[in-house]
Amino acid sequence: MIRGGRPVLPDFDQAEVLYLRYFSDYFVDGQLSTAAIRFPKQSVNRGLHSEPEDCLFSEQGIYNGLGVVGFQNADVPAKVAQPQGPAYIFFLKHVPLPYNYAHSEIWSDQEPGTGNYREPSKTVKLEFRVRLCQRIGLGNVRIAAVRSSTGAITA
Amino acid sequence: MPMTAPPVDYRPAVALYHHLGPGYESMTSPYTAMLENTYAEICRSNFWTWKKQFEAAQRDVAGLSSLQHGWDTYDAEPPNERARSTAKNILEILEQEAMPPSRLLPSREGGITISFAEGSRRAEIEAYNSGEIAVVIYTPTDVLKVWELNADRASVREAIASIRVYLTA
Repeated sequence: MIRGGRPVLPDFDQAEVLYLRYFSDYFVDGQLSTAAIRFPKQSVNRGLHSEPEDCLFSEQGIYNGLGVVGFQNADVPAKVAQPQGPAYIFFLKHVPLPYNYAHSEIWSDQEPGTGNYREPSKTVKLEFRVRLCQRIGLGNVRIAAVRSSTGAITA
Repeated sequence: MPMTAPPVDYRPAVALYHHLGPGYESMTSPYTAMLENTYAEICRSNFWTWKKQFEAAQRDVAGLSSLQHGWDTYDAEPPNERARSTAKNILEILEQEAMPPSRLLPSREGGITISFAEGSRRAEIEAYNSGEIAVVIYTPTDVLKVWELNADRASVREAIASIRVYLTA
């Protein structure tokens, strides 16, 4: 996971898997809750350079009990339009960290896109988060969570 | 002519007998059994089940004050006083409307997510740290409507009515 001078790889294949940590109470009726996705720049690990277990590695154990879901780059909604106002596009950005080469972020920009980050409106963000979570069900769980968002341990 | 409905006292009257217990001299054995059964039935009713759910939800909202910055391991802000207050108000209206949510969660977006699920029909109300509120209704494959709300009770009540119509259609 150490970057060690490796370069930024800007291209993501549509089939590339992305990993995200989640809490045990973040599945509602078999679907990931929108509460699990945030703006700006939701962090994920790209599967090209990591395994699900890497998302939970911490020498201090701060990720103990969390789970990991995996979804494809193609599951990330490419665009959210709105009746009034600009359409927003969403894309992956490889942002390696010194101790996490696979670290990437979900960025947003107004159409047609400048490559910079632009924060969408509340409703666009909520629609994006719902559309992403619609693609993440129990079948996407790679490591099952046993810790809830409030820290409780569940069986 | 419009009339004002008086506030309803939700306590079950038979709880008085329950708390007095079977040893109380005015309760003879046939009445004890009958009252115990009645009390158990009332406690199992939808009304009291919801009442307990809402009490638990209000406790959950209060408990979210203990979350710290980065509580989600992804640098999220915890739900602040404003979001918790908004969520409490929404829960009060939901209780008046007898419409318990499926789940209440701290949101990584900074606020509180109140979720509803009825089969494949879903809805969410999000109370943000900024004081804003957004609502979405959706299916497992499509987003049907997403909109922002004013934080006043009339707007929240209207949104809840829309969610109810959608979930029960």
